[in-house]
Amino acid sequence: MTRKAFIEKALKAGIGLPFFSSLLLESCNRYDLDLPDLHGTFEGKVIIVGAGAAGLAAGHLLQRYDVDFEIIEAAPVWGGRMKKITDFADFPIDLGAEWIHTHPAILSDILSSPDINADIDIIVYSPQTTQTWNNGRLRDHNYISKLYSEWKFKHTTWFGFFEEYIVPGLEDRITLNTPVVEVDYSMGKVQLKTKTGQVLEADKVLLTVPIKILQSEHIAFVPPLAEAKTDAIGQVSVGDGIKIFVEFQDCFYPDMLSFGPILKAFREEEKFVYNAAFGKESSRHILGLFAINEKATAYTQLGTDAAIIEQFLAELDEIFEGQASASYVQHIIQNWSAEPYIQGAYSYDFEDKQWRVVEAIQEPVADRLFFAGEALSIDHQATVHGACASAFDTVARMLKES
Amino acid sequence: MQAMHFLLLMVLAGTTLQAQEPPPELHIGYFAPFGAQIGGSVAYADVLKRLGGMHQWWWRAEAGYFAQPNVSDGMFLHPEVEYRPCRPGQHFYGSFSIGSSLAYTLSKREGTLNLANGDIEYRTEGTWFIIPRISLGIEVAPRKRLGGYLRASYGQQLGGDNGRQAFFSASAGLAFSMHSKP
Repeated sequence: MTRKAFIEKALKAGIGLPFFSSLLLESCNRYDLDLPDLHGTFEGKVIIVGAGAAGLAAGHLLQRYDVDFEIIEAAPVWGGRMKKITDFADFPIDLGAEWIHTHPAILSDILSSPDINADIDIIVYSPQTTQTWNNGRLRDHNYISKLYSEWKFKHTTWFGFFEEYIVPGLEDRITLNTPVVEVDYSMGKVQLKTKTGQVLEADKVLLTVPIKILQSEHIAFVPPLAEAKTDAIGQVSVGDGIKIFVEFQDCFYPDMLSFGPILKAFREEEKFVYNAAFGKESSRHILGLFAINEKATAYTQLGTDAAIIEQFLAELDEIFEGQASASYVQHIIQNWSAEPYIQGAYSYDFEDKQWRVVEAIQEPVADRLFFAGEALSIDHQATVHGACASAFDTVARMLKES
Repeated sequence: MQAMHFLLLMVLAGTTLQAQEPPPELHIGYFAPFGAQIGGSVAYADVLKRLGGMHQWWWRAEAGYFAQPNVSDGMFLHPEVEYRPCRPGQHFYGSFSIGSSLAYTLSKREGTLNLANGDIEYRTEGTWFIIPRISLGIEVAPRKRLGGYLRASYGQQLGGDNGRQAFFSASAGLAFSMHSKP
């Protein structure tokens, strides 16, 4: 079930079938990500394309099983859709993935290091004040705090978590600034050609690039991928994505502000304004905007950061009667659609049945090409832990099939 | 405010039982505040007054537990007065009640996750609430011993940092006739 479908179901149940909704909500509370039990005999080399959550999790696992591997990243930084900024406020801000969409024990599962001696502080993210802006009216919906909760990092970020606990063990295996333009699997080994003409060779390749990159055919395959696979790749809907953080002198906004009817807003999860300092140890007033799909396009199509922030402040001024402009201090915009190796938000919907699309994309090619990423997690699509789960599953499959 | 609420609870709990029939009831059921939370409650209900053939006024004192999984746990006391348009021997009837709950919730605000084993040590915060609410219900009168109820409530949650909030809940359960009166 997609996150969107799950939320839709839970909301419908929460309102219409109260006696079942708790069971539904409980079902997403704790998700065990088990480290695969591998006894393969694979002794070749693996190249992971993409150093986002899935690529890094795959590297973490391959290292655990003493497999020779290398991670190739097109961008000048690792992290993919995990990104942080530390000098904007008095706490680090997630410019990409921000919420922990399942029980935080998943962090321990991702690390799978029972001997680690480390703790991490988390926030129970249950916004206490929620408002909607609908048809020119601002309404309170504070009861939402009793229906909705997730988790967030208190002192760190998703990027920070990987930076501290996963990347140190992989750093010498990650090569940045190396866009792969061609994957040739016509021979016994897979050859990867980079933008600079470099040729890398591996026995198996795990592609963890965003679906949007596969859709836009930035990477050519030799021979071309089967039609069934390219069709499936095209059936994943990924829209625009943008996050804006604005510092204000005063906190005139609620913990969460949604747009349109409350149920529709929570069902679609396409645009929220929220108190980014909620639960943080901060004396600053930081407001965040999260928007995807058409709601994000409304900003990204404006072209420049100046036009985007002007538009956003004008919206806030209309809602909060001019307080935004009067209280404005500074802002930062993260336009994910403009990132050349990301090009959008995350998988949002599927044109066919999700499992059918995912299975078609996941299906290994010639036992040498494998695919993983947030879009390919059936149960936890569109999340960091879903990306990690997909990576773990695919690595297990890769090594077992050797 | 809380003291007044306790007073109301004590007054209702101490009300002299005036009616001779029907017998008091014990309600045990599932209680789901805000639709998405889970809980249970037990209540004692008895006739307060009967007017004519079909107008019955009952009092009902309820205590319960509810939880928002992984976020909060709560307890409540809820005295209320209930109106039942119910003829003698009528099996199904509607009900309307009005009362006020005193609730205490213990909320998890943040915690420390042990990365080795995934255990979380939570830091909690307690809050008192007063929740005046009205309820509409459908009840099945106990025949011999066992009946049932289904009710929906709406009210306002007062207290905590955020002032007034809407409150709604649903509950369902069994009603046991206590047969303690002649």
